Amino acid sequence: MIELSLHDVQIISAALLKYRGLDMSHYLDYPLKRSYEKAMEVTGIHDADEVRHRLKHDKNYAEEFLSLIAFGSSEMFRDASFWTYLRDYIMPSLVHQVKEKVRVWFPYVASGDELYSFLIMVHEMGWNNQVETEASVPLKSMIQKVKENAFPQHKLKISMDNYHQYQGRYSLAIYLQQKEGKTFRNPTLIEKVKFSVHPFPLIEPERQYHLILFRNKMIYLNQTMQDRIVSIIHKALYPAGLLAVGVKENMGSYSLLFKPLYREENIFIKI
Amino acid sequence: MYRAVVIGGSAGSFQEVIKILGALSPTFPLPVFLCLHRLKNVRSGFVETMALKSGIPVIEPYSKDSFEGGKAYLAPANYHMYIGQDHCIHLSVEEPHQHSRPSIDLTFFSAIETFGKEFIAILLSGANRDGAAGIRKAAEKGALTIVQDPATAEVPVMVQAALQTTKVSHVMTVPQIIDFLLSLQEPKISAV
Repeated sequence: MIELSLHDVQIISAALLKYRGLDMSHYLDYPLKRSYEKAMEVTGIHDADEVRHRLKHDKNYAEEFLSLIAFGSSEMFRDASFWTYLRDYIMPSLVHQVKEKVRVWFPYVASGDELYSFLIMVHEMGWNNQVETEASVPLKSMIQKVKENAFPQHKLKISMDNYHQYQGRYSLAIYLQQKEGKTFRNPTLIEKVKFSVHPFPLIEPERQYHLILFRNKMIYLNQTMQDRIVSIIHKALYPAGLLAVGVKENMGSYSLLFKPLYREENIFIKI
Repeated sequence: MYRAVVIGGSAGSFQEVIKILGALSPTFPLPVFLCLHRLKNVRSGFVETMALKSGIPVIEPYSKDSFEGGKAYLAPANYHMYIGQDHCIHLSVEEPHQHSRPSIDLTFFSAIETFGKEFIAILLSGANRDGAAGIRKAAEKGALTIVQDPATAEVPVMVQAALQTTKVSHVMTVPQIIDFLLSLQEPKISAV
């Protein structure tokens, strides 16, 4: 097990900024440290100075490292009660009220777990023609990775339990397929998703949306950057548009921008 | 001088934590951080039950909440909990550590970065090795480390793993841990 000091973390962050233009200064130390440690374990480079050297000289290594440090979601249908509420109350209301398509944006997709959970919900409810889903990834190379839909084995059981709690129509297994000893999510559902590369932290998107799902991403950012991102998301929503953040994310200081729609699941409505 | 108490536990620790919290009063000078293994997909009930029997407020924090003495902060289900140098609690959904989220090791590691040796690390009953590395690092740093006496632990795997890994400051029964914590209300100990 690799254990970096916070000094090592600073060495790697400085190299990412200097050689790859990636500013990590707005991320909190501990999750960042752990994401670097994990990336170093996977790539087999166990020394911070060696990582710095590779980031400078080895483009392929740098790309792999960058994709490994992206903050993904922990599983599919995390917080089943959130997804149930989205399916039973939020989405029916949007589908009913919005005359054209309901526009939904995932501003930061890394593992695809939340995106794919949403797509399953839309598919099972027969809303495919009424919902337009957009997903932004921080790096171009990650589009293919998300589309490939490799699904880590350790997420399988809890995702199935979550789906069961959510009371999905079938079994989660019908969306999964085995290939060469690995599990993949069925790629059909993701075909209609419009992907874009969106630098993170975010810049203002050109379009507006009815619903933005941005759960458990701001927990990795410092307060200054969180404030900036909340402001960008506020602008990216139509009037009375909805924002869902993680159930334990702190939205206490944004009462001028959003009011709670359903506090239990941290769903907010644009003021 | 101590600035915090950090308690880790897993299977068999819930009732022990209730006993400890029940003995404390709101004048307890330090924040108490609780990292207990719990069901990932059951969010409600746990903190409410704990709060009913606790002598100090028990809070399941939101990310970036600040902390203060005389309150207990329970790691929410399915989130890792870090104690930040900015005196805020930070949560994350990164991959499990030692099959655990929240992970006791990760909470201990962050306490070491934030408080150095000025905190008390306590490990209670549990069924896996999460927490052992955290106790070892806390001991190496010079923090006060207490492990529940394995003979009194409902599931001793976790505390035995810690004792095999390092020499801790004290091996105590839960009543002894309570007596020790109550002694911290002496004026010589100051709060954060």
